[in-house]
Amino acid sequence: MGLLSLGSPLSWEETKKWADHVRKHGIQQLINIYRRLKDRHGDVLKWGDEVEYMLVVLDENNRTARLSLKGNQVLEQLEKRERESPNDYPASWRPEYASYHIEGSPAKPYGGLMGHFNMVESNMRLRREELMSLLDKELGETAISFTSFPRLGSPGFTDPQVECTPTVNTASRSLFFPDAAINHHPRFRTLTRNIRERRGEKVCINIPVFQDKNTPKPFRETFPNGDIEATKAAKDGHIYMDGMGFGMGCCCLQATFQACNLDEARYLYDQLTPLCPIFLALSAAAPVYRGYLADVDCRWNIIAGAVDCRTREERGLEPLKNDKFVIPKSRYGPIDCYLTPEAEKYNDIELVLDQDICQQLEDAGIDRLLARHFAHLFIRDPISLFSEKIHLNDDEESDHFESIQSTNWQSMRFKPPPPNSPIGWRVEFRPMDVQLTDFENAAYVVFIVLLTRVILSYNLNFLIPISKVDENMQEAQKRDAVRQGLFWFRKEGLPPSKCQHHQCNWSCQQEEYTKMSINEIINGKAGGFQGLVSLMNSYLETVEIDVDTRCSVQQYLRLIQKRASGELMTTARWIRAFVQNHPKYKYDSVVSGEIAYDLTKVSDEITKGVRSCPELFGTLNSRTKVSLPPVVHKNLRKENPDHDILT
Amino acid sequence: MSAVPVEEIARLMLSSTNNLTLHTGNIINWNHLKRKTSQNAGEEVLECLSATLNVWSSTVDPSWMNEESNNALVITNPNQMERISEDERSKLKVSVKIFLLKWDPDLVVEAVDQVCSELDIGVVDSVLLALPPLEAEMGEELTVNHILPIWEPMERLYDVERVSAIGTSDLDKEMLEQTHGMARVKPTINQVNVVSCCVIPPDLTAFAKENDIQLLTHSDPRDVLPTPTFQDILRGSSHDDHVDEWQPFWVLRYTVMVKCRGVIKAKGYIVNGRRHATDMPLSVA
Repeated sequence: MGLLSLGSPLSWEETKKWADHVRKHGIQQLINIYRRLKDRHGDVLKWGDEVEYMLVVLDENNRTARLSLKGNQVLEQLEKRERESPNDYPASWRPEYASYHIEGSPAKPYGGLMGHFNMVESNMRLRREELMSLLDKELGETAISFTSFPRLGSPGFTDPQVECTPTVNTASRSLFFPDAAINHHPRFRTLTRNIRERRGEKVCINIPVFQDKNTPKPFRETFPNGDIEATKAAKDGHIYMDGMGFGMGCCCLQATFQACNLDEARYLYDQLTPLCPIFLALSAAAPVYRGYLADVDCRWNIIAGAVDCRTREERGLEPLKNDKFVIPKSRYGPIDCYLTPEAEKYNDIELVLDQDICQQLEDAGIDRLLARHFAHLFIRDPISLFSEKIHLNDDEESDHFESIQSTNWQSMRFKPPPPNSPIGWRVEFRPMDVQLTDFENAAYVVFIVLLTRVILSYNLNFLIPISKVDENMQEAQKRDAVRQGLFWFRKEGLPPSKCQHHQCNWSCQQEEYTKMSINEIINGKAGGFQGLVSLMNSYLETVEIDVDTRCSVQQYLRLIQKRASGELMTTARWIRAFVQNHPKYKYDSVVSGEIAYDLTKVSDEITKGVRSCPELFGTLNSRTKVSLPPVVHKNLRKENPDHDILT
Repeated sequence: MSAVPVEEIARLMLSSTNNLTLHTGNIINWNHLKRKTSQNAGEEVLECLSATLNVWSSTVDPSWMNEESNNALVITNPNQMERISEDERSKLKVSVKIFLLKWDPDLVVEAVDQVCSELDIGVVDSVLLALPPLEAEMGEELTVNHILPIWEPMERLYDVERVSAIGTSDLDKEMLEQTHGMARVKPTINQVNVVSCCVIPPDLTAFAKENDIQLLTHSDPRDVLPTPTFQDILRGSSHDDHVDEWQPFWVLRYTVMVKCRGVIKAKGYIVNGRRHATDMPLSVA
């Protein structure tokens, strides 16, 4: 969650008054950027990853695991180190929503050589070591990449423990997630409060509980003080959550890469879209919420609910009077339209957009598809505005554009270049749950970025209608979707041939897509789709790749392949199994403090590499390195005197 | 003159030559190659050469028959040719692997010249040399004295800047060390079979590191184009009884990558085969 201008945040009423102003200038800023930079061309691939961490305190004596709220202090120290050694420091740090939450990325992007794929894991490890070096092991402090902390929102889940009532929590009014656990930077509290005030009520997240043998039926909680709002909002058989922190306080794994030009960025944005649900299912790591086993394995819908600022009118619950549109999705959700002309026929869901903004963009020379994409993003109000940043120079600054752009949290993000920087058109891949270890996180990131190289080399096409991608996104989150789910997927990823064989059986009358399992999509099926890994191996056998990188990439592919086939567990499945096999588990879906402690302790040991977990990632072992192979490193240093990529 | 079917012309052309070079053109988008879940270079060469011959046979133009060309026939896949333009060249990296099938140093230069001519380039960025199988009279074991004579043309290509980097394929630590020790221009790359990429002998790794040699992987079989296979490919497209005198002399694979972006632009094979001169019918009626 970028963008930390300092200053005085406005109240919601004031922000709302400036909403049209922000939109108007945001669009002008976008137009200015587009005009200046639409032909920007970059010759080097640059890309990076973002891994998020939770600060945890493990108390061995009391057998508790709590989230540490000293994230701000830790971050300050990390940023200081970053400032003090700008050339060698491997990491770049950013605050995240919660005060227990930190995000790290490589200090410089990775480049376009095969050897760079072998540096990801090492860099991730360096980051984790850095973070750990600032934590007090004696006090049981550690950092773990849980996608969702099992007892987030349960009583006493923070360290220090803080008061948590709707009265005290002025920003969120949550019963469970204290404002004190929100990052102290005013932006985060402002977002929390503004989302709630705009919506006109607290956010309301209901996630199906996992009905185990002894789980009460109906599953219905009694809330502190018999809270009336909660009692009405909570659904039977569901885990109820009522604050932004439940969503934005989750961790995730993201990859961003720079395309060589605008067209390539649009092409990759489109091609990766159908892969979002696939990778959500494969990375599933979040089956526990507020101390209960859920019937979902991923964080996605929880976050969608956590920042859903739509009013009752916008949600279609009341006739439109004050608001302009009925909006089908939360501002956090899967994307709504493709960007390339070839993909336009697959844009089969209604796109709610501001016609005036769309027209303005087209009049400025932006083509219809791109204009529609941005006009759709711009139906949203800004939800965080600082008084010092209201009147901007639209030629030099892009804060208003970024304000709307960065609070549309979607499965993919299409990122225009910022003004006054050498950065090009970028695409961000955002659906994945984060994994416990750097080996796994590297595997998922490398897989996706490698896949983009394969897509570009072989002109692949994975497009299916957006409505089918949306269906897939829901399917992906179901419990054990990786083994049991069926996903719409294009039958033939290869482009229509220039075919050299006479017996080319390619028939265009067939339906282009069908339902496949994750196993078929990744590993292929005889007589069916050959599988993504097969295409990637074809690529890997063609390019020049050094032995260590090849070894690591092979291990990464194997991890994904085995997760796809079910031979290895997803993190979600593993967490579920841990809970259900715990001696104190009562088959009632409750993840008690004790169970959560053991789960957290074991997760910590796995993260640190002191405990193996063959059911999660086998005995795979990469050959990751901190830098490129020596010869390549020397050559690159000569060719890349700006030192703007990692070598 | 009655119309002679094109395939017939093709067969006649093939039958009257003793030196044949086949270029598949850019096979990067040959979808059927990718429909299989895995395929090694041997299978790939076989498929591509057969397909190339088929296409050529059905589109050949008799005016291409050049009687002055000392019987050498160059067949290029007409559908797949992609020449590299000058301003593109600086952004691309052209890598070549020569699978030498005869211990003849001249073949190295010939192969490099052929790929430069086919792709219309002046310089190849890297050339890797895979050694021919040992011949009967060479003894039981490969020695550095076998390697040096065919390494020498690589050095010359490097000297005249026709090739920017030269390397070897499948040399173990012993052979690599000896070759590196005795070569005038040292190899900067050695290929290792991908099946051992996670279990490279540490002495090889150490030697490579100390001497600035990149260890790259490959998944090519020992014998990328066995003689009977080559003959079979030709048999389908020619009439004559002397098909079993053909022998493949070298196979070359080229890969063109967009530098620093990891995107493959082109990949293709060029194969050269020969047979002894015999009395061949030459004319087309």
